[in-house]
Amino acid sequence: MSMSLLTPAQKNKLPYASATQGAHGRLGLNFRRMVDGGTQVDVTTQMPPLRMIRAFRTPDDAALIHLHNISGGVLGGDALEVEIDVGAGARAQVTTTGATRVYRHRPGRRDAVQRTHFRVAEGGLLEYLPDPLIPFAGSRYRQETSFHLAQGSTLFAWDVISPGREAHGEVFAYARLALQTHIETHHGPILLEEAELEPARQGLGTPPRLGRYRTMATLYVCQPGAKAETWHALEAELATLAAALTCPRETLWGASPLVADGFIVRGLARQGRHLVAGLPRFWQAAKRTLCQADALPPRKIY
Amino acid sequence: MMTEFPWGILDLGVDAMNPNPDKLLRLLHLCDSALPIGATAHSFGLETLVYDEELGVHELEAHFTAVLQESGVLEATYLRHAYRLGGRVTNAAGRSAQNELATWHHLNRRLAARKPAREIRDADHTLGRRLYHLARSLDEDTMWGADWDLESGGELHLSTVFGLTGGLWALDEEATTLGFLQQSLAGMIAGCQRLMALGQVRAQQTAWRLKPCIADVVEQSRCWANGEDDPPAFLALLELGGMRHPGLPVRLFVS
Repeated sequence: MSMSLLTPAQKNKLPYASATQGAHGRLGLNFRRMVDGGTQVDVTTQMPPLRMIRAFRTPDDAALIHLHNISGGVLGGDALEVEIDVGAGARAQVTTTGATRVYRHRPGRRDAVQRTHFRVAEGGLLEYLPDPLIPFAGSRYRQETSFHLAQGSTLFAWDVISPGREAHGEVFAYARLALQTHIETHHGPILLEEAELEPARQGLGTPPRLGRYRTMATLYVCQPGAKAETWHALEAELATLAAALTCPRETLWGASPLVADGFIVRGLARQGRHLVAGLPRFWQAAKRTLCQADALPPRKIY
Repeated sequence: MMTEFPWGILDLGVDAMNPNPDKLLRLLHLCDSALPIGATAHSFGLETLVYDEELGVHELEAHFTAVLQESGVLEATYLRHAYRLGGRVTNAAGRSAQNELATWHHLNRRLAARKPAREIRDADHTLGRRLYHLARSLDEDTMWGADWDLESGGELHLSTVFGLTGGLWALDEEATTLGFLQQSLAGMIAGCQRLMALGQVRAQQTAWRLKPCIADVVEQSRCWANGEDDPPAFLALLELGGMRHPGLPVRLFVS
């Protein structure tokens, strides 16, 4: 999969051949369905600071792995690339060892960047459940996440973007945060999100951007080829849950069908913990509808 | 004497002393806020923000500045791509239309994927289709070259149709982009007058003060359209308003 998902312009931006300061980490993983119904994980590439220690077999025979940045966070100049293939019939649950902390940018270095590419084959299931992103004061970071989904595959993926180290009084103190999420099926793109947040330049607190809210969470639910009646059922369920979990002027939730083959659930909150607690509920509702199975969270506090 | 703007000469075929009436009138016709395409039925998430008390009259200028800076740049960039496609069709006397069909489909599909809220996306498709068919009904002489609605798979967008029409009619690209943004802003402000206590004078003053912002957006969109990448757009609360709109207990707008 790897480079074929990148446009020429993106490839030209890759700092591999430059003498840029910062870590250039890579991690490549293949999830393969085994004869006994379980999923095996093969490590195809592993360059520090990115690592995967081992996979854990979940009660529903998926393979749970933790993406690990052994340096503890992302520093200016870091270029990190993760490529994950989920084979036919394989089931993958991918999370992180903790929040992604993006440290203050060092002058003279490139902006930090992390690119994560997923490909899910027919019958494959991917649950991508990273911990929140915490951009520290003065940080400059670009996050690119892409999913290429075959017909009959299933995706549950979320992300949580916090305003900074709130407990330290850092709220929207980062310099620049660029967020890109692309989801493609054989029909073409079904979601393209491109955002650039520069708090000092933009008014993130203006109504159309974040208003009074600080933390943003998103859940993507996709299953190319699912029947229309399945989506109708899921739409009703997600709408009901969103209304139930919404607390005006504190936490807002909404859900919408994508261009095709999926849904987006989005939440904005003044306090991030309400979003972190809410996401698993939407995930559970969606997985029961699409997969007739329970969502089994990795061993974390939500 | 040609009209001069910071980005160069604005050529509507307009000479200030001897204007080309046809092109100017065509553009003015497209930009008319009373154009019967149903724009007044859609708030594009605004109604939810007002209902949730997230937006008040005193915040409107900052709100629309952000909307222009974010989705304005995005829509204007896609308008330019469509305009240039229309121009290529016109310059080849319609012969290149078949060559542009895949580009047209790709353009509209990508813009649809940039709009995660279904109501907002569907509203845009509705307005795009209506504008397209209205324009075709008004001008049967233009060599349209193809059924652009059919070729988009029903995923027309107001901005891409506006741009395509401007290109096919050989209007000035900058003027077409300016006109679209002015029309869009006027529509949003008119929507606010139905949703909140916004009087006529204040509404006009708000629109007037946003003209430099529109000009800046036009400038940015030209840079993006000349490049390879898509412009970013961050309007999380407004998009969430579009997602939540179907659940409002009382709705003045369809979306």
